[in-house]
Amino acid sequence: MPIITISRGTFSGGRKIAECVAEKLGYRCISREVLVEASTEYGVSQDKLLEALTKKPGVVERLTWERNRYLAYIRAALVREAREENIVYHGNAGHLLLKDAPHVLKVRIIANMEFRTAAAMEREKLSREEAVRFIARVDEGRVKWTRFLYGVDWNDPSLYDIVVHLDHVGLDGACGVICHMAGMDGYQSSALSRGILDDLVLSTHLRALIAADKSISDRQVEVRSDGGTVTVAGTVEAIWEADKIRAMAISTPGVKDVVSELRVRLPVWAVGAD
Amino acid sequence: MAIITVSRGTFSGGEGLAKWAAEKLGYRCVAREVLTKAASEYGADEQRLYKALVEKPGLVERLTLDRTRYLALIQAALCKTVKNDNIVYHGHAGHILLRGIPHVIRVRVIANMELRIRAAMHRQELTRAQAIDYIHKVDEDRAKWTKFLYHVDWQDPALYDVVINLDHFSLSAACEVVCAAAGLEEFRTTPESQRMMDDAVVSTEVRARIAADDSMADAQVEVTAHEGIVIVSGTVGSPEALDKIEDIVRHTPGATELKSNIRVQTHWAMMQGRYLR
Repeated sequence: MPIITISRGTFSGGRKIAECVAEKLGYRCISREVLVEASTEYGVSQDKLLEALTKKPGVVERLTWERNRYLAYIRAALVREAREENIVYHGNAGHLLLKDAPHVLKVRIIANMEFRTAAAMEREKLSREEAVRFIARVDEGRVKWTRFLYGVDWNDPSLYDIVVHLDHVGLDGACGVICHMAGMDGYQSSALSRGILDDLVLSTHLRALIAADKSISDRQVEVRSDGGTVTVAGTVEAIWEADKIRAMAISTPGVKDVVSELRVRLPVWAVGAD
Repeated sequence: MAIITVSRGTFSGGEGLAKWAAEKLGYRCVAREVLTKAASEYGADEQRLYKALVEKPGLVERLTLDRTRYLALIQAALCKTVKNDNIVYHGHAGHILLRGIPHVIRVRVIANMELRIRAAMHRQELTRAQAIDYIHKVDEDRAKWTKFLYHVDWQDPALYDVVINLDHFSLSAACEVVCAAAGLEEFRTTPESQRMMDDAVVSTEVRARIAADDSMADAQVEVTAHEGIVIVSGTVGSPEALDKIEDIVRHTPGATELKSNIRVQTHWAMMQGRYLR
């Protein structure tokens, strides 16, 4: 059973389509729930998480690591949800947060500006001018966010499996096409894909735990998992940090073995001293 | 019952998809046939029609009306070809030439560069470097063509109803999606949308007949039609052209009346042409 992500500009009808698909297929429809889960699991406020997910990067964003920390939490929470399958996720950045997960159907919805403006005016009680400005601002933020954090163009159709234009296809039509696709072979789960998801749950959870540890939260560490064997790679500042990460990995439920490719950064005075 | 256009970059699997979908739906599948039809019907050279459809605009060309004339012929032939539905068109610019018709499903296929390179190497027996060069050149030409003639960005997903990414899809899965879209209520041919199609057939036919007449090579006219009433507006080079247009409308099946909004004005490019000769 597939995992469906629906990405779109603000006020483009994405929520309605997600709800329609979820109802037709009997899936769970989630968005903010992921933030709630990440917030309780890793002990940070939902507002911080939402900010990390939506706020465009500042001119000099020095706190990238902080944003990455929050994204690690969100990613781990979303992957856990995805493991249960049968979900439609219509929150932000699903196609990016789930980028290594198998059988994810990545949908993008586009709607014309008139449709979006009318929706914004109705739902947020804005004047026409305010609505236009609001949408432009959110779109711009989204574009910058995606470029900054993932180095990709949010509008690039090749990020998605399918792009549906509502102008002509309509909400019901889009819902129908997506439901049809969800039944296609390529999106069905198998023992293999479930194994990959299990590994992803492990690796993203461990990554989130590392991020949650104040003493090492900004280290550039990458975590992979293959059949429960976890590989940690990257650079840390001291040997005890590498030990700590290994220990965290071993004590994470589900981890069978740990391979460490961590390197300790030599202090400046030691470089070249050999 | 619908009309499907499949647009894509060169070597992106669009042709395979078009043929497969056509077979599954029992539709006709056309591309180059439209040019052949335009050539025989309006007495134009097929090679030149093809060039008008694919070549990027040259510097000097920006000043002439030749391209517009050839495109008018192609558009008319295309409208006539697709007017009875159940057809997949995978030639160039279908989504642009048929814009405004509600029961046209505009599909775009994208594929990653690696897939396209391999297809190009295999089908054209090119080396890897040649294949890359070739694809880049064709893509660039296509982008310039669309920008120049229709002022839109060819890559913009908003030009299409559905964009399918073949990186994640098999061709057969993509085909299923297209067939599912073809079955949607939104694309069903209604009496209203058929009327628009019929009007498009009439207006493009009139425009093509004007374009096919060398004595009216300097005509800059736009033709629209509404329930058989043909409205021609713009400029022509001589008063005789007015009579000719009237004659064309009289002989166009489906045209009932002409509302003329034409002024006589010699196009300066035409005057220059006379100078140069």
